Amino acid sequence: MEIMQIVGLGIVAAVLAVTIRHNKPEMAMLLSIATGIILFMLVLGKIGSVIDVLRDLASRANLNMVYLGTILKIVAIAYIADFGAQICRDAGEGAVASKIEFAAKVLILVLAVPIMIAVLQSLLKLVP
Amino acid sequence: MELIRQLVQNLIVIVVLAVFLEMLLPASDMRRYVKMVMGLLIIVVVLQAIGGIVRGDWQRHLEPAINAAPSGVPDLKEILAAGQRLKDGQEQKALEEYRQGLSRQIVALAGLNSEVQVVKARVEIYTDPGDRHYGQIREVFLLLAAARPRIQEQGSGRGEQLVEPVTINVGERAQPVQGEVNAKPGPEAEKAAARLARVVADFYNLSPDQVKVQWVS
Repeated sequence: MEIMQIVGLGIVAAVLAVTIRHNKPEMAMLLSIATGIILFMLVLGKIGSVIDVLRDLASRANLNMVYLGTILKIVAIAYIADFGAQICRDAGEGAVASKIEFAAKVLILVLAVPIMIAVLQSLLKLVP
Repeated sequence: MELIRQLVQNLIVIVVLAVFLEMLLPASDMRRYVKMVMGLLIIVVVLQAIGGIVRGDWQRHLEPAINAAPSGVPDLKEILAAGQRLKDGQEQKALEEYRQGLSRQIVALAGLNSEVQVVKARVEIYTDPGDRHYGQIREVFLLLAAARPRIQEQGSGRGEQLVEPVTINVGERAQPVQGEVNAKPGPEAEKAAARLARVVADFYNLSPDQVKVQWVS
């Protein structure tokens, strides 16, 4: 039951963070970061199997693997940016969190450009 | 039908993939952006599938229907061969008409010359379509009468020709009307024939060697 381990780790980390936040807020933030990384590492192996299924579905749909890779990168950017922004907000740095989200949006749009070009080319190919 | 089945299959898989990916999205402000990119991806896949149908190799599917001849209709090769034969025949007829027209034209041209009498003109032309001179005049044969029947009525002064006296010999074999080829003309007649040949050659832009004169009695 991995979920018990994950939930237990999360609760312990939360109690510790609440306990030390008054005296050592920086340590509470580091504890929060470390807990997040550990939880991410725990589920990383499971995500690999999900991605394999996604690749299989994409190959069945004759979807170019470049596009699927782009989508997965975008999802990862969104998750990492969200993770960083939450930590910054917990530390009371809402402005930095906004900047992280802004950077993530820009990166997502940059990665979306090849897909937009592909849409345009597909539409133009339909025109005789 | 197979193409449509493939397209529907692809669409089903793409929708399942999109739903699957949507579950992975973070529940934050980023979700809208990632969903937009995923929507673009689905549009790409659908357009590619539709483009494959629109630009599909329809000729390959239609070829059996085009090549299959219905019953009672001759084979396409036979029709083409018959068409080729018809074309060749029409070309030969056109060349023959052209040759005869030229012969008549040369006879009429030579008839303007009162020094010699042209019995017949025979024209040979290049008939090989592969030849670069195809359709041009190769040789012209002028059959001239060696002795022109210019019997004029004495004293009339109008130059009218009279019919020669007709002699009937019963029991003898009839002589050919055309007479003997390569009969010997007089020197004056030969000069007149050379002038006529030159006129014909100049008129049709031929070399003098291409116009040949033959004499018949």
